[in-house]
Amino acid sequence: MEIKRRKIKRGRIEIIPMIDTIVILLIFYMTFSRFAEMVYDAKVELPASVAGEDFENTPDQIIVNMFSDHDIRVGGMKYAIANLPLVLLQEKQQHPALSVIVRGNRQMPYRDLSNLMGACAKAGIVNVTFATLEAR
Amino acid sequence: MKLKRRHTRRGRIEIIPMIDTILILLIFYMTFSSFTQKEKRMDVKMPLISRTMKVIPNDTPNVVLHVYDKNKIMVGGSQHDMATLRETMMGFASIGQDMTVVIEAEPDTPYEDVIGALDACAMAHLKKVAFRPLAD
Repeated sequence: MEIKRRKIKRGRIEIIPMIDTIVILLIFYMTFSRFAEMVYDAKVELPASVAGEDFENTPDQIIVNMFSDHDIRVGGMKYAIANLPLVLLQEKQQHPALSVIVRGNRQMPYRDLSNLMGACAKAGIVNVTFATLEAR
Repeated sequence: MKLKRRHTRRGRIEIIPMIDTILILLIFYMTFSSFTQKEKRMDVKMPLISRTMKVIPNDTPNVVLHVYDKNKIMVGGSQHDMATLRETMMGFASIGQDMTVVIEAEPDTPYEDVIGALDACAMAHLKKVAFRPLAD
């Protein structure tokens, strides 16, 4: 009786699963870049600074993108300054050590920033961080 | 005479040029990512000062910066611009870095000028900085 020898397959790169993987990765990055865009509003023109520490993402921080006190974007939603204390309070209940990261537009008047400080004070938030761009 | 038939090639994806393209794309993105401006952070504790304009009782001396714009910043009766403000703040820091700096501004002062004053404090390693909100 002849014994059938097992055929040894030559190792080669499989194209179809590779294309599948690349497409899935592409969709993954495209989706999450959308979420990142919602948190960090790219349209905000940040002021430049020389000093400052490197930015780090921590769970107990809320990013407030501010064009003016009528146009504040938090997590992709638009708020006016009057509604902000409630949003901050809800977040503070989940994260007691909440800090606010202000990404303010460079041309925004101090009046609007003062109103934001009032909103933070109403929500009992004392840690406020200002996001800037590294000066060239 | 026997005619040689042209061999029809089966379409297939070429791996080697694809790897070349991916590598070139990788190098391109890695190079251009270094040109993007890094986002920085500057921490401020708030609100150290109430809206009633009352300066908090403190054993350490307070310095009040009143920002009109980037060319007019008043520090204890003397006028500064951003360059001279940095030198002044360095001078204060050499006396003691635990002094509280209070930043106040006009309602229409641009946010970037206020952040410029904050940057001057950060450059002098003055950590205790507070904003004074506008009076209602």
